[in-house]
Amino acid sequence: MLEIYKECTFTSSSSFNWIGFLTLCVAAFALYIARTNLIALKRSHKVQSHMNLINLENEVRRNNVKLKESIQEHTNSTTQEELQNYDPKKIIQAKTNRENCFEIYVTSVDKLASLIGTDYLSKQFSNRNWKEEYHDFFKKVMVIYQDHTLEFQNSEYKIPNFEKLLEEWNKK
Amino acid sequence: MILNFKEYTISKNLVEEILKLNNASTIEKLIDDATKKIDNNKIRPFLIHTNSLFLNVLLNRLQEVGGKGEENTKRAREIIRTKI
Repeated sequence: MLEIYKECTFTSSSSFNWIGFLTLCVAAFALYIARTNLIALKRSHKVQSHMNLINLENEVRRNNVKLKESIQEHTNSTTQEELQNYDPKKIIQAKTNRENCFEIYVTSVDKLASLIGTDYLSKQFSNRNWKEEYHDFFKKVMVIYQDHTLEFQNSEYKIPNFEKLLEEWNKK
Repeated sequence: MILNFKEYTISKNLVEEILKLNNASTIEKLIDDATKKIDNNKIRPFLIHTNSLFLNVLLNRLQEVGGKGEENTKRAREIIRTKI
């Protein structure tokens, strides 16, 4: 009985070790593949985030140019030369265009501020100093925003993320 | 409220005059004098429009005005905002 038990134990133990070893190899290989994929995924995610950020920054710049042009156009519509043929419709049109450009602009700025405000981005791009890069720019945006709300009193465009971020930066 | 030719002209002249000033202390007087020429019910739109012209200077014309233009623009905007 003891002999059979020893034989069984030996056979069973030997078989178990072999299967265990193979399982371990497969698991290690799978772990290696998973780790490689994870690193590649993280890298691709980082590149994607960077691309999204660059696109958003470009969008804000483009909208900034459009807004500046619309403000210029609006004030040009009331210059001496233009007023020789005084046309209220033209002035209203320029004002409406300015309002539309403002809406698009503040929306994109607020999106950018919400992205910068997240911890996620700070972890992804630890070498970038967002405050140094954007504080002055955001202060200018605030001047435009305040002027707009002064001029267009029924303006409903809110910029909660932007205001929150600027407030935080001003405190520091 | 849409302003008329007269108010737009006063506003434009006021802005150009302020930009050329060397002494910022006279800005308020110039604004007050110009406002006196405007009908009571149009004073607010007039000031808002003038402020808008100064915003345009800040965003688009600052390099062109030179001198004390920037300082005058900022001071004028501060004064106008208290009056609106």
